[in-house]
Amino acid sequence: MLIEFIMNGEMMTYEIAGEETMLDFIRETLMLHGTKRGCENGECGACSVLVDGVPVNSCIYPAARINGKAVITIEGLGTAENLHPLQKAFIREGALQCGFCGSGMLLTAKALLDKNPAPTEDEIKAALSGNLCRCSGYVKIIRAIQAAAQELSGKEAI
Amino acid sequence: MSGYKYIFPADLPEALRILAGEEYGVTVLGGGTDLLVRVRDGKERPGALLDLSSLNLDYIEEKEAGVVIGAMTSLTKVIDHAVIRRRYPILAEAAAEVGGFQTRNMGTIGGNICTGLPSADMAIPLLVLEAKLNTVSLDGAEIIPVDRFFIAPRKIRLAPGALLKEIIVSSDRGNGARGSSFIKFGKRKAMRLCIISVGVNLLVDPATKVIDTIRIAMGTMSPIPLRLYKVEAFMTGKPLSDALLKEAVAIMETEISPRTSLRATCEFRTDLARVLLKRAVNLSAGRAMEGGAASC
Repeated sequence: MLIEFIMNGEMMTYEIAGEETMLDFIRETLMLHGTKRGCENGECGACSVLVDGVPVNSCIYPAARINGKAVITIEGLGTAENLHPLQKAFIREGALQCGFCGSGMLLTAKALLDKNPAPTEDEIKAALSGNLCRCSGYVKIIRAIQAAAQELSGKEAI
Repeated sequence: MSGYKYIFPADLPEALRILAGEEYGVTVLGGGTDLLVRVRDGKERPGALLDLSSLNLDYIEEKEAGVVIGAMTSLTKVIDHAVIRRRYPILAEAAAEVGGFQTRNMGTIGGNICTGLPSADMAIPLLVLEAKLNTVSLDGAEIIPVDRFFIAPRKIRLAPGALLKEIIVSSDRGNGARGSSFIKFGKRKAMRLCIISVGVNLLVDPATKVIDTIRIAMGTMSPIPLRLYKVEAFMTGKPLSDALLKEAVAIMETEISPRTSLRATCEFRTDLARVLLKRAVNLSAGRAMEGGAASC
């Protein structure tokens, strides 16, 4: 079937198979390897991407469903020259260890801050409950999100 | 995933025609958080998936008598919706306990109950709200009370060719202050599957503590999400007290039939049920006293 969608700001049209998952499509067809293949059961969050601004697990999300929608993967969050404030904060706070959960963590955090610019620690934990970090680096991840939230709200005030 | 056709019906009548046709071995796809994992694991082998996401069944409409919730409404929308939070907070409370942020964005209220699982979190608040399910097929609409919907694990009372369109929640009349609560017990704080869940919805006189109406449901304590009618009948019309709850627990034990599974033993589940029944009733009554309005 033919799908038309916006990927990281770019309009795209592709022919896909009905049973294709968005994860397979992103990694194997679009060759965007920032989205990670983790549990493939919708539990670990490593494959999280934003569909119309909302985080979903791309491993159990049919590619057919992105027709008419806007998708953001980690490749669309910032550029190497111009990192998103969340990415800067993750680096500054040392919030990544092995880094495998990072893409999903960052995109989920972005969706959280878009919805709630000043989340409490508990709200951050609740939002990240579907993103597992097996290095168990949650403390620094939470700290980085708090720092990014402050930076982003500071910018808005100016 | 194994090969299957993926169908986006143009509208509801077309969806019903495809479903009635059965030419592909059609399985209805809601949010996909349960079904697509089962397909991947080979537990389901659909000939075709009928995706309901394009049918505009994602809505929450406030009516004078209550709310109507489209079957494809995401759990996140249920949690965030102002009318739900004001009138039926137990729905938001239960939806917040499903999976994680991502699964709640994908998962739908209709899909949650159509899994037919005894652990379906949304079944519990819908049971204590005595929700009605508007199911449709080519033959027309049929309204099914939610307590008649569950037959056995993964078996629901949905005729061949029928699908769940929307969920109707109406406010019932009664005297006193209203309070409700949903408590879920799992082995960790998030992304947990249910060992036991309890929902209570009651009307109580704040002065005398006499229970005017009470509805109680439990998840994972029988092959289907369970209404505890005997406990309800026993507690109705009596003033709430520790002694009353103790007797209620004894009756509860005759109504539940928990099993031992990977997640917990039958004995542990029964122990939890004893504690959580009391806790959920007291929490609901406390909320009612704090300012639950009789208008619900």
